[in-house]
Amino acid sequence: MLTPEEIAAAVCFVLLEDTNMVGQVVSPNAGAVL
Amino acid sequence: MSAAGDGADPATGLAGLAGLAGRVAFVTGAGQGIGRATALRLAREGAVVCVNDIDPGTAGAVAQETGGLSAPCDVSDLPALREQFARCEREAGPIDLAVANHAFMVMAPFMEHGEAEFARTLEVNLLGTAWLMALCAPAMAARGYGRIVAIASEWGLIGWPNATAYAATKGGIVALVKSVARQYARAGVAVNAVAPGVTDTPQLDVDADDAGLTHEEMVEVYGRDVPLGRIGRPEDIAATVAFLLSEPAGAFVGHVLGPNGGSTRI
Repeated sequence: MLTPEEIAAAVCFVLLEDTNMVGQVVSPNAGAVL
Repeated sequence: MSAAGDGADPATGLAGLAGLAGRVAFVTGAGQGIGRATALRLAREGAVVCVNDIDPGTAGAVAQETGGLSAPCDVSDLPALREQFARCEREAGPIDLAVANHAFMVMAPFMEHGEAEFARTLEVNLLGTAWLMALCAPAMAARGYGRIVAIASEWGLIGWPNATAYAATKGGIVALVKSVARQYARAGVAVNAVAPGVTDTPQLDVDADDAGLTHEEMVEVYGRDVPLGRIGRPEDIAATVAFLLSEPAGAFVGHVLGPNGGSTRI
């Protein structure tokens, strides 16, 4: 099981980091879907 | 050697990424482009960076910029890579973060690739990445913690007619990442990939030469087809790599993140 904090970290990365990701699906799922 | 920063972004004041400060990172192909940007970002986050490049001059220069160690060698030469890796661990401590960023690319249609060029592309890109993983993943697993990021490519997902060997190796890296990730996830080692779209690095000169354009013209031509309206910057990719190296990114296993301006949605 994941923790809410791990999902929050991924959300913050997408929201705050200055990257060029557009239309990407970021899926922190501990490898459940590879 | 010393860590160069505390992780806070000087421009925004935002706090740094968790789990990077004080750790030792090994970044291949870090003498220029995405690798250099990654080394600088990790140093800013407080990591000690071991800077690998096939060119000792650029490896040394970036090591000086980051306050880290220079570890030059050809990553496809396993004994040489093993020697540099071991020396870095002796001098800086256990390597918990590894980035396989090195790349070799020749542009030509499939049947115009020379045999030696095709083999060299496989040796550097795919074998070099496998050798780095072989050196660090078991040791990370034994310590119960590690982060590995391999730089794949958008072309490894969608193919590219004038870069067959390169695209094939980058697709192979995705499969390598997913396989190694499955094996080591429960040991606390997160293995993931970043598949950048076209990025403004010195490697773009290969594309420009192939197209008969200047570097600046190539940037403009590639940028026209990207939904974001521009190609990537090394810093864009470095930010994505740094996130996957952070502690909370343990929730990602065999994932491929695609900072590509929207040109391929994965």
